[in-house]
Amino acid sequence: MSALVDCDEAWQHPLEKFKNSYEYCVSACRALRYEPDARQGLGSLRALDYRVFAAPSPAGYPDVASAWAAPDAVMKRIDWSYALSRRLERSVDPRARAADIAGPVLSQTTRQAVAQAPSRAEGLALFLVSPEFQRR
Amino acid sequence: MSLSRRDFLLRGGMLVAAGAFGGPALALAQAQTEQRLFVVVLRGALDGLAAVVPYGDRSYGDARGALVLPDPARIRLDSFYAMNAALASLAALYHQKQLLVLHATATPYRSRSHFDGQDILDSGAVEAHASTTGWLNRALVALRGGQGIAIGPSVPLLLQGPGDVTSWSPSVLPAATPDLLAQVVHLYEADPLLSRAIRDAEMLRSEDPGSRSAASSRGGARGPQAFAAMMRRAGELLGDDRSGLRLGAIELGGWDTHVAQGLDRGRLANAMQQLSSGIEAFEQALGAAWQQTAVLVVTEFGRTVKGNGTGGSDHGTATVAFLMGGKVAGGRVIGDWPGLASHQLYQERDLRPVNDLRALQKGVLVEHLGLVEGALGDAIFPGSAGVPALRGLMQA
Repeated sequence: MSALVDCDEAWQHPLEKFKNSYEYCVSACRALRYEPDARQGLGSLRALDYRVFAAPSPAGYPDVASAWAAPDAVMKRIDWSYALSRRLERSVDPRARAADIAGPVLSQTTRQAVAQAPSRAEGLALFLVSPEFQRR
Repeated sequence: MSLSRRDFLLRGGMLVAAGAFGGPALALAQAQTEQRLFVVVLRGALDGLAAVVPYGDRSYGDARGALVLPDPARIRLDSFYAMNAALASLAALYHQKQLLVLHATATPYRSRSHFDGQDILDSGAVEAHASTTGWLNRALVALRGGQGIAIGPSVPLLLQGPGDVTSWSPSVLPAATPDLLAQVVHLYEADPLLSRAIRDAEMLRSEDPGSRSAASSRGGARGPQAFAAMMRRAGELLGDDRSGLRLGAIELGGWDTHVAQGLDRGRLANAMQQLSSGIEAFEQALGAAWQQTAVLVVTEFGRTVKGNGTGGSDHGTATVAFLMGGKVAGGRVIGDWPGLASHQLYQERDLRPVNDLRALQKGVLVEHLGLVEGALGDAIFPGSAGVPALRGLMQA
């Protein structure tokens, strides 16, 4: 544990990797403190075109950003994130949540977009689909 | 297994129980009153001066500049005010004397944050985040019976609280709105990977003629008909005598028109048309119960009188509110008019808030729902003892 804390790499914020749909789904649910049951969880993954244990080819899911940031995939993330945010918006202040989760790596653009969103749902959705949150 | 009437009524949608009682609210709530109140919350700050135009104000043209509503897009209400033609069904109700307008109105909120403004609009409190319950829910408690319903995927703060509230939403969730997508495009500008993806996606979508229909290939409910469909369902549910539903609310976005406002054609006009067709659908679905129903349309604050540099308007203060229903003493624009000359504006930029929105809300609770005014100042609109309820809102 202390080795992890001491490790310089653990404290960098490069955000080099684009999250795959599974990582995105899980991190977004956690960000909104949403605990889906199995049906809801699988349904969410399906909405993001991710089928657990059923990758489209024997080679498994791809591990390059371009595969997950395809136009249709990005659009599905936006729709799904908006739907999730609309369900959970009441309990969450988007400004505070974005700062809690990604404070140091949030760009000025994202911070502003979240703060000026016309509703909480849109503020949360913008945070979830921001370039920063879609990477790790 | 027996299918209760409520199950049947809510079939085709999702029923989610909320409020203190938890669990699916399947038992029919016994209501003491036949009166219904439905609140339409416009999220994002409606430009009240574009919805109800004070064309009779001598300063109107100078004050609004590029945001003057062209003549053909106006429906005359009286010698001073005109309704935006995109709100055709509201103008029709006005002329049937079933809709009244309160102009230059605002909540107690005097700053410019959507989140805080909406919090005060919903909670009925004087300060943001001071209350975890909404004024409509507290009104439901005061009614001692009947049930509330949120039409949409979540229960807004407006309806949260100890009162018995259920919710209904279409089984197909709404997809991201064009407004949200425009914000996302801006968010992605500095990101080559994502900006290319969303640009391509938008292009693909615009080439697909079917994508603008009610249910797109992306699976979400979209398009101008989605809101009207939800309003129709709301009307059916509230209109059913045996349902016990007395109070309800729905939200509609698309009003935060900072860029290319489009008040006669474009974004704002489209949003108004959605509202207009939604009201029409709601009234039709209610049937005879329209005579026992009041609809209140409110928004968190208004927009600047002058346009900004991008063809839109920024967050302002006073705006407009609508009250309509079969027994509303309508056909009038009520309240004081503060004027649009520069010395009459609030902080030299906004329509001055001279009519407290709570006076209208309290008036509806007293005259339409029969609540006692003395009790509203603490329980429903805390800190509003100095704001008397408007009278004469309903036909005697």
